[in-house]
Amino acid sequence: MSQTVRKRQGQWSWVLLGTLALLCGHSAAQIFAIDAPAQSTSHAARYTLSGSVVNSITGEPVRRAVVQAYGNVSATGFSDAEGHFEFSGVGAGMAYVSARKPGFFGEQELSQRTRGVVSQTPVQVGPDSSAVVVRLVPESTITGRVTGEGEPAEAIPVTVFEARIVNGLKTWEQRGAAITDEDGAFRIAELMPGTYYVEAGPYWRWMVAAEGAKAREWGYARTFYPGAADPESARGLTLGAGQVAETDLALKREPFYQVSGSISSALAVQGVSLQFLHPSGETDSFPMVYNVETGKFQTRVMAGSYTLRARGFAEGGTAMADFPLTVSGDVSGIHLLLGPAASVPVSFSMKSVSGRDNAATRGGPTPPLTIQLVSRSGSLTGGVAGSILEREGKPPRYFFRRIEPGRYSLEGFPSPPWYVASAQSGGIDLLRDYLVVAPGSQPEPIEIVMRDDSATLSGTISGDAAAAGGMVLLIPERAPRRLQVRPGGTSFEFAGLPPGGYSVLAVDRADDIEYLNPEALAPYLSQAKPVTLQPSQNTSVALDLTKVGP
Amino acid sequence: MHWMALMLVGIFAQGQSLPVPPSVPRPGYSISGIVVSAQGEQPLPHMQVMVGHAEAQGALQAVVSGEGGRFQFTGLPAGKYWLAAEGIGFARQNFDEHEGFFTGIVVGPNIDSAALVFRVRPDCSISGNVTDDLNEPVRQAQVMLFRSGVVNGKQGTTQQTGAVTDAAGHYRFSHLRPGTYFVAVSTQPWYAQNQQVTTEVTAQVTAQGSSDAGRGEERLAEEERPAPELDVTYPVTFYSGTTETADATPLELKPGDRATAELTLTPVPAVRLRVDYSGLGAESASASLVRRLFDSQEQVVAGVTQINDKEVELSGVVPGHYELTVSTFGKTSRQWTQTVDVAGDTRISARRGSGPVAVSGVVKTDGGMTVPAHAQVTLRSIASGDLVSAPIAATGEFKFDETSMKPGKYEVQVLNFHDALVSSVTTANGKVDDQSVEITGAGAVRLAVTVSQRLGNLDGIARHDGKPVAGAMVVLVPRDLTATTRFRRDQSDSDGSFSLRGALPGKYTVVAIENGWDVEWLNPAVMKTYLKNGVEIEVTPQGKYKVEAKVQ
Repeated sequence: MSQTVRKRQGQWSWVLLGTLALLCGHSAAQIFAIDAPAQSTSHAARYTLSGSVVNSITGEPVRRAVVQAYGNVSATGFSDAEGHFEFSGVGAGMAYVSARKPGFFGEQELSQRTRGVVSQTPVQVGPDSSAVVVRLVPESTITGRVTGEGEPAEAIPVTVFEARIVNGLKTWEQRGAAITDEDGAFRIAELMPGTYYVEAGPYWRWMVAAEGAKAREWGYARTFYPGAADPESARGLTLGAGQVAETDLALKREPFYQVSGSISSALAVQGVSLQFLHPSGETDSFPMVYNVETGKFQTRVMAGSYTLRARGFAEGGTAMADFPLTVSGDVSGIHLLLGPAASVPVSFSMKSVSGRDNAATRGGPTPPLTIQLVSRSGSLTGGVAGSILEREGKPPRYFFRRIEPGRYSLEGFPSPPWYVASAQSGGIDLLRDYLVVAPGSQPEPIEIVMRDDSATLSGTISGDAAAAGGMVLLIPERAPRRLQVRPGGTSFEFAGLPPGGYSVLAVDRADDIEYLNPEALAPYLSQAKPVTLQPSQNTSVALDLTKVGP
Repeated sequence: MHWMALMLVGIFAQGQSLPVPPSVPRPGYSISGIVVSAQGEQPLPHMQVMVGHAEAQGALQAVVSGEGGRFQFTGLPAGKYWLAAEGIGFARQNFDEHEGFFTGIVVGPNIDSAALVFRVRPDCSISGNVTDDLNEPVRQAQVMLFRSGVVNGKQGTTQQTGAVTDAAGHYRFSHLRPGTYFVAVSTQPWYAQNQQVTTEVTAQVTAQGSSDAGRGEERLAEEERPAPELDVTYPVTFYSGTTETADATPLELKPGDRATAELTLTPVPAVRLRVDYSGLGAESASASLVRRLFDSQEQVVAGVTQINDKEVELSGVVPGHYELTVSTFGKTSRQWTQTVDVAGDTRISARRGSGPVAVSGVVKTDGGMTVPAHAQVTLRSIASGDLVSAPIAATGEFKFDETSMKPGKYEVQVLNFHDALVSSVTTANGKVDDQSVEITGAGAVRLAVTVSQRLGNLDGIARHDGKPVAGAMVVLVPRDLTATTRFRRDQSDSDGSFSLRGALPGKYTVVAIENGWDVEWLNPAVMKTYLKNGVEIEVTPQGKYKVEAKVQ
C-alpha cells in the first residue's frame, strides 16, 4: 500500500521553493509532510526497526548515510560500512524511513521532480517487521573542457539546462553552473537523470584602450554543445543515474567591431539602452556611448547575428525599436526610430442571454479583470513580462499598457457562468492566434464579447483512475490553444465553457505532453472523445484512461 | 612607478569603456625587446604585450610576441610608458612588477629603450582534494590560502583568497605569485547536527507548603541533545594534516610550480557555548566567535540558538581560544567583546567590561580649508585592519557610533577631504602619536585632528656609482620610524627616476635599495641599517625637492 500526497499544479511553486531551501548543500531522500499522527500506546511492546541503504543502480551498500525514521518513532543515525542501520525500542505501528547523503537523491525527490508527486511507503513495525531497504539514486555529473582556438579557455561560464514541460509548454530550466578553471575544465554535479543541454559563454576580454590604440577586443559567443548557436539546434546529453558525461566544447574567437549610428524618438528621451538579442533568445549588452544632444551612439560588439533592441527612457514612458544586425565588420549609419511601447484599449461587451438570475447579472455585468497578456516569445531564461489589464476613469475604460515587442496569448479566468465568446484585435482572433506586437507598432483595439450561457461538462474516468499526476484535457475544436486541464481522478467537472464542439481526453500523466503545442498534442487526439456542448446545458461523459507515461 | 588603481584590464561579462577612434600613425620613438620566462629565461612567443602612457591605464598598442619572444612598439612620443604582458599560464604583469609598483620605460632623444628583457613570472597554482575520515570527498568546503611575506612593509602570514570545493572535493588556486603559502580548510560535516532541540513542556505541579495550596502549571524546558555521532564538527585543518598553525607545512612555490595539497578532515566532538547576556541589560542578543589564523582573523561558523530571553547558544564549536562578540539589541544596539577559552560545553556571562567607547572630536585644517560635503574620519584598527568611519560636520565636529567602537590602537585618517592628510592627532591627555591613538575603553575619548593639504613632493634619480638604477625600491622614511602613515614608496624607472608624492611636512631620509622588495621597511630595526646611506631631507609645506638617491 502506498500513501500518495498529490498537489494541484498551481500549488507546486512554493512547495518546490521550500524544498530547495531544505536541500541546500546535499540531498535529502524524503520531503513530505506526514499527516498520519503517531500511534502511541504507553505500555506497548518494543521492536527493532532495521534495514539497509543501497545504491539504486549498483545495489551496493551506501555507508554513512544519515537515516531518519519518522512516524511512531523519531530517530536519526548512520548506516554502517555494510549500509546497515538499526533503531531499537520502536513501538508497533507505522513508520517512515528515509536516508540522505551528498551525491545521492532520494527516490521521493526524483518522483517529485519528474512526476510532481511525492509518495512514501510506510513501514509496519511489529512482531513480523521485515528489514527495510532504502534506495538512494546516485547523482549524474557533466564534466568537460572548454577550449578557445585550441588553447584552454579559462573563466568561461558554463550553464546546464534541462527542457521541461510546465503547464503544457516547453520551458528551459537551469540545473547547474560552473566557471572553467585555468585548464578550461569544469564539473557540474548534483544532476538528476535527464537530458541536459550545455551552454558555454559568453565571455569577452575588455581591454581598456587609449586613444589611437591598435589593440582589439575579442570574445567567445554563447555556444551550445556540441557547437550550436541556440539550444533548439544543440544536442542534449541524456544521463542515467550515476552517469558522468564528458563534454568538450571548442569555442571560436570572435573579434569586436565598432557599431554606430543615431537614435531618434517621438518622446523626449533622457537615456537609451541597447540590447543585443542572441539567436538563443538571450540578451547581451556591450558598453555604449550615447550623446543625448545629438542622438548619436557608438558601441563595440562581438561579431555575430543579433536583433539590436533600443529602448529610450522618457518621462512619458518607454520607446523602443528593433534592428536586425549582423556584425562582421564595422557598422555605421544605423538609424533607430524609437516608437512608444505598445498600448492597446480593451472593450467588453457583456451579453446576458441565459435568463438566469444570478449575482453577476443582477448587479450588472462586471468585466473579469483577471485577463492578461502572457508572453509566449520563448527564451532560455524566461521571456519578457506580460501585461495585466489596467482600468481608469468613470465609466471605466480598460487598457493593456507598456507591452514590449513579442508574442502574447490573451489569458483569463472569467467567473462562471460568464465566458469569453470572442476576442478580436482587428482581424486577429485572439482565441485562436497570438497577438504579435512589433517594435514601435500599436495593436488594434481588443474587443471582447462575453456571454453567460456557458455549458458544463462533467464525467467519470475508468481505468487506473487514481494514477498520480493524471489529467483530463479538454480541447475546444474552434480554438485548440484554449485547452483546459483538470487533475485526473475518478471524476471531473469543467464549468463556464463556451458552447460548441470539444475533444476530451483523460491521460495518466500530463507532465510529459507539451499539450499547448498542437503538434505535440496531435498524436493523442485520436484517443479523445468528441462532445458537443449546448448553451446553458450540463453534459456528462464517461472516459477511459489513456496511458501516455512510461 | 606606481599606480593607485590604474591598470584595469577587465575580464567582464558586461564591461564599460569608451570606444576607440581610428588610430592615427605618428612618427616617434620605439620600445622593443624580448619576453622571457623568469623561470629559466627561455624566450616566450605568443605573449600579448601592451604599452600605454605611464600615467594612464589605457593601452596604446598591443602586439603578440614573435619568434624568440621579440616585440616592438613604434611611433611613441617621448615620455614614460608602462609595459605589460600576459599569456596562457602568465597572469597579466607589468615590467619588473612588485606589489603594484613597476619600472616605467622612458623613451626620448638619446634614451635607448631597445633590447629590453621583459622577464615574466609563470603562474603558480595550488590544487588538491578535501576528503573526510572515510576518504570520501567533502563538498562545499571553504579552503583558505595564506601567504607569508612582506606586505606593506611588514612580515606576516595573511589570508590571500578562498575557494570552495566542488562535488569531487576538488579545489584550486590559480595565477599565484611565487612565494610561501599555507592552505587550510574550514567546514562542517554535512551530517552535523549540533543544535539541541528545546521543547517547552507544561507540567502539572502541586504547590506544597504554601498557604494557598493548589495546582498550578509550570513551564519546563526539555533539552534533547543530538546523537553524539552527529554532534561533531571539523576543526580548521592545515596542510599537511594539523589543526595548529605552528605545525602547518609551508608550500614554497617557485615560478611555474603547480603544487598539490591534499587535506583530510577528521571530525571532533562539538561543544556548545551558552552566553548569558542578562547582565548587559538588553532585550535580545546574538553572539559570534572570531579566531586568529596566522595574522588573519576568521569568523567561526557556528549555529546560533536563542535559548530564552537571557541566553543565546553557539553550537558546533571546536574547543579553543576565541574572541567572543555579543551584539545586543533593544533601545540601543551595542557590541561587547571578550576573549573566551572553550574546552567543553561552556556557560559564560557576557561582561560589560570591554564594552563600547564614546569617541568624538573635531577636525582642524592648516590652510583655512572648508570641510567638504562628504568628508569622513576613519579609524583603522592596527590589530585587525577593520575600519570604522564617521562623517565630519561643516563645523569639523565628528562622533563615532559608540556601538561600533572597541578598545584598541587606531590609525586616524580622513577621506574625501580634498587631497588632505592627517598631520597630527591629539587627545585631552596630550599628543598621542602622529596619526594613531590608543583607545583604552576607560572613558570617553575626545580627539583633535589636524589635517594638512600643504604636502611636499620629491622627485629624484636612483644611482649606483653614478649610473641610473632601474627597479630599485625607494622609501621616504620619516624621522619617527613608527609613524607608519608618513612613509612613501616608489620603484625607480628605466632612467632611474622616481617620485614620492604627498609627504607631510617633517624630517625624512630617502633610502634606495636594489632588490629591496623583501625588506621589511616598516620594521624600525631593519630600516635603521639603511638610514646611514640615505639622503636626509626636511619637507616643508608644499615644498618641491630634487633628490639624488644612492642605491644600496
